[in-house]
Amino acid sequence: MIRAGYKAWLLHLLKNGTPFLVSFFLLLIGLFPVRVSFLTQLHMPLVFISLFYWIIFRPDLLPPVVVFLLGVCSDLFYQNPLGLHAFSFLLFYLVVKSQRRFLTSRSFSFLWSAFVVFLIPLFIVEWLLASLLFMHFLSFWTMIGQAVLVIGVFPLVAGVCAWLYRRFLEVDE
Amino acid sequence: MKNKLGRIRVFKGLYRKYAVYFYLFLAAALILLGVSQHPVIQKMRMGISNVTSSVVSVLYKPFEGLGYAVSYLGELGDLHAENVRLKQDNEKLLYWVNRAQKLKQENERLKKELHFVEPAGVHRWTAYIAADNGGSFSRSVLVRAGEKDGIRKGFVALYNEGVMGRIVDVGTSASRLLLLTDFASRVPVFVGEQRLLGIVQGNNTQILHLTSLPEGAEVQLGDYITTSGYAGVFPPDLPIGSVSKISSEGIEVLPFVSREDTSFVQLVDYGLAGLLETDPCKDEVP
Repeated sequence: MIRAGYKAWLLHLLKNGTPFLVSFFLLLIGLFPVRVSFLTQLHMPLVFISLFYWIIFRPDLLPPVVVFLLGVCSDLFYQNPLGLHAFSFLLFYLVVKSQRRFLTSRSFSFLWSAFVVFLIPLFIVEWLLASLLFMHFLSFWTMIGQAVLVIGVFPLVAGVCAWLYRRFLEVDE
Repeated sequence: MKNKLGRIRVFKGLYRKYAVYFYLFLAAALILLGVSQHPVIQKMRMGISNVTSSVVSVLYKPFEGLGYAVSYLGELGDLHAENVRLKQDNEKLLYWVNRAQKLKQENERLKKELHFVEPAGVHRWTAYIAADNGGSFSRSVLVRAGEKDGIRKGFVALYNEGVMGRIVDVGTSASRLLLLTDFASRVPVFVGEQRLLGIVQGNNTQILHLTSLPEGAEVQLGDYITTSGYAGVFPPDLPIGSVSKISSEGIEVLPFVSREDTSFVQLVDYGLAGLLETDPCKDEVP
């Protein structure tokens, strides 16, 4: 009886923790020592795709404190100035959540376009902030390259998120 | 009791409404704290790096084959161009093998005549790259060797005798290797056969920039760049790269070693580790 209860609790935790776990895994994927020329030069912050998807479809499972913690983890993992990604993730959260109702019932291609619209200005803000912190303009084209890569990979990562949503989390809403 | 519950409810409501702004403020505070470069933050980063390097090593295993496949497919695309380049390189190398043999003989003869005393041997460690922890704003990797393996801050990382970077943080079982291409990397160098002094700096791209040359210095395409040994971080005459572009915007240097060339690095102790942490002003205070 106790074991069954424990199992149900664990399953519930896993299910509700899906947005966090997916985002965290995407943070770790970025650390993989892949020996592909463009990937070693351009870091792909795939976590933005996961954040975008879950903020739209299950914001209750991705509260600001979790977004903040993911940002701090990202800063610590990737040697970013501490707080930089925490700040930009929360900014992304604020903007995407404000448009949530408008986005939930839209087609996949529309979501993809919306992601581009939200991501590019955010990357520019992040780049400006980082340049300010380093007191030197960092490579603008590297930032654009990263944005293009993330936008290109969007269907794949968002597709996995959508599958997880339909399989485990849709019925709960 | 009712009052207390009511207050909690109000607090919860306020938190729900303003949580995102609260955390935004906290993140901004963290940015300011990070600017101070407090040693506690560095320690925290290294502690986390120790754990992540182990976790990533395990997680990456199933993807390793996929990584090789992607890299192999990428190479297939420019196989013909690479073949042409290799043939040209081979011709140049044959010439240099003969030249090197002659120079070696000459060098040995001169050493004998001058009764030259060889410097003490250096210690080398070979470590594999466990994680690419350079994000959008830095270029560094985590190597799977740390304090317990004898690694210390300031060790130089080489691959095929070319400089890749240096160890800047050491954890128990992992260390952070700052690549030459990192924005924070500055290396005093000699340029070309005239051994002009300059500084090679990274800018988070694949290319390095050559700066601080003496006025009127004439740099040629293909000039060989080596460490000068000034500042005591790198020993002299380690190969870094060659001049690849000269334009009005500056001089670019293509490093001999790129991150994607290898999964392993050699960490070499030239006995220069201590200089990194020495504060030059400290000794002057009576």
